[in-house]
Amino acid sequence: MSGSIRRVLVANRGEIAVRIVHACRELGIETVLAVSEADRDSLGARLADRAVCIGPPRAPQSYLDVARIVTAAVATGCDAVHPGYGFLSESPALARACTEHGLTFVGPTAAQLEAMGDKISARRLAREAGVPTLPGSEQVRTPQEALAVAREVGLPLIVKASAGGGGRGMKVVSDVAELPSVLTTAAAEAAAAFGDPTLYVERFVRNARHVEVQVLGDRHGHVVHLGERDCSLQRRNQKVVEEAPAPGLPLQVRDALHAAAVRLARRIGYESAGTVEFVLDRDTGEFFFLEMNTRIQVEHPVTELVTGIDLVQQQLRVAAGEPLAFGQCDVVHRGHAIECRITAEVPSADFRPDAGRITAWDPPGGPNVRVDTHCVPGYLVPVYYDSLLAKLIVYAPTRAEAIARARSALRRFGIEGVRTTVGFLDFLVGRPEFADATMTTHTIADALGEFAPADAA
Amino acid sequence: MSDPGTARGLTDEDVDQVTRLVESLDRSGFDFLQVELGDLRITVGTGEPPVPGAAPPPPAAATPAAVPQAVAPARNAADRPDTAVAPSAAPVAAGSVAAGSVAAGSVAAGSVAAGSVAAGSVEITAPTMGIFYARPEPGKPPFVAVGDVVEETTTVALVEVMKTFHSVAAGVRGTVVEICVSDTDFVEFGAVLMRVSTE
Repeated sequence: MSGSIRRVLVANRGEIAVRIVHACRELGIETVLAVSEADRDSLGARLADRAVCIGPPRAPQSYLDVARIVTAAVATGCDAVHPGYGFLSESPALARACTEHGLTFVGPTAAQLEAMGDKISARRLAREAGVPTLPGSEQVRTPQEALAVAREVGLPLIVKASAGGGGRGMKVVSDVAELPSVLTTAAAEAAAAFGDPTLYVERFVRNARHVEVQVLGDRHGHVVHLGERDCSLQRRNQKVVEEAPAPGLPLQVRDALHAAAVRLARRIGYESAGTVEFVLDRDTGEFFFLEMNTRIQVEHPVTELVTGIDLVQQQLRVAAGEPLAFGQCDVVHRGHAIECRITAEVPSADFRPDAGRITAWDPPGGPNVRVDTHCVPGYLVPVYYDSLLAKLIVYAPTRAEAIARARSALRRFGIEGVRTTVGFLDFLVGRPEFADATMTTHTIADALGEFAPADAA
Repeated sequence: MSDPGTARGLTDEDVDQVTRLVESLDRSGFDFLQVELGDLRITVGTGEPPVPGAAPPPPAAATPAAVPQAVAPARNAADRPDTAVAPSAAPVAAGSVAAGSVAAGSVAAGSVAAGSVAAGSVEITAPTMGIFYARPEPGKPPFVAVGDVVEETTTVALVEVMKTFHSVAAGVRGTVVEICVSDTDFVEFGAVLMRVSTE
């Protein structure tokens, strides 16, 4: 790769650390992986050119510590830091500390992270860019203010933390009488979880699809979109199955979504890979801005498979100052891709996380089957982090074939030692709502009762 | 329960208990679990065993709750068998350094096999990853030198993470026998900084 990035500190763990190491290697960039004590023997640590232990297992003293990440990057001669997703990926403090120490942050600018990290500010920017937002409020300070909003936009409402996002810090209110107490607890929870009690209120869409648009910008003023993904299959606001393209969208809605996402990215001069998330009202066909994620996302591979564009490599190229090598008309969408998130959780026990040692690990192969993972036989799933073990991503010319391929691959996935959601994913992908593409964000909750886990014994 | 003089057999109940302990340990992410069941004390785990007497045995627990071992700032190297399999806590080897000019040419990669360590020697490890400073300021004499006697509270070094300095206390009484890293080296979390003889 031309230019300015020679060695990257990967400030993450798990499958995305492995993914970034692979992307760097293909570009001829060296990698140093920052690991906690629990991840010293991880696959990513073995694959990287070097691993550096930055602290104890708990994330606040390792993966969430800006000072340690930057110190490790400088001390090991890195010129850039890739933050992955989660942890410090959307931290303006890390982006700023990188700049101060002469390191390139592989992501947008600190100002862009700030503008989109504050969800009230993001909503305002979306409106300014002509992107539809849900009827709702700016910051609500008192129950009286919230009640006034409720009268204006109707019930149900959703109360959200301005510092939240990613499905965290939200509460649905269907009865005005509940509003004052929900505001009090939501503010307390937001203060505890995000260090900021600021709340805002939006209309809640009952029959909702979650559709998001992948955008990519460079430092030379170019912004393109790479199409959309449907991520409606969610459990407790966390995505479980994602696909590209979003099935059954009317062409004009699809075009409008893409155009809206690009308008918002242009509005802030966005310069990296990002995702503009929308909620689609199944009853009215309208769409509204939810938030913008200013990082690589877990579900980025489905977009990679239908466009043939390596998003992590694009992030690195843009960070190195290269202009995008393609324009909008060069982005071609072909076929269908589905991703299933395989987690170490026990579906029969309300999805309790299940840490432990993986005694057998036998991922499926075959044409157009991709498994992004950090797991190997003998790997000890630590108790300290999230429970994602692998992402199974399949590609096929049509959606029906992709569903068949996903189910077949899930059934060949052999994992022993920890309990996983593989069987549950097979059940989900086999649901009639998924087959006929009528799923909503509450499909999983509605269908759970019909799931008979094989591991119930 | 009391059956002095004879090796006590395990009842089915005991075996169940132990099995449950092993399972809960396996799932916990901790390396060791020590439990007293009546007159039977059981330590299960992988890698190097915990230092006997370093921490009081956890109270006998009816439920197999995992009890974290207190992490002592200094670990007694002499109590570690040479044959111990590489514990997962061993810092990664510095050998796998990318080609090119890695800024910190000398990297303390921490605890090597304890074979060459004299009996009665205790390791002082880095409390955080960062830059190791052997002296309070450039030009000043070092905090300690080989042969110096230290107390538990003696400051033996500083480790800096972005202008934040962490002082490293010896954590043990004894004589410094080895300083394993050089001034301004980059050290990983847990890297062995010094060895102190307690004899």
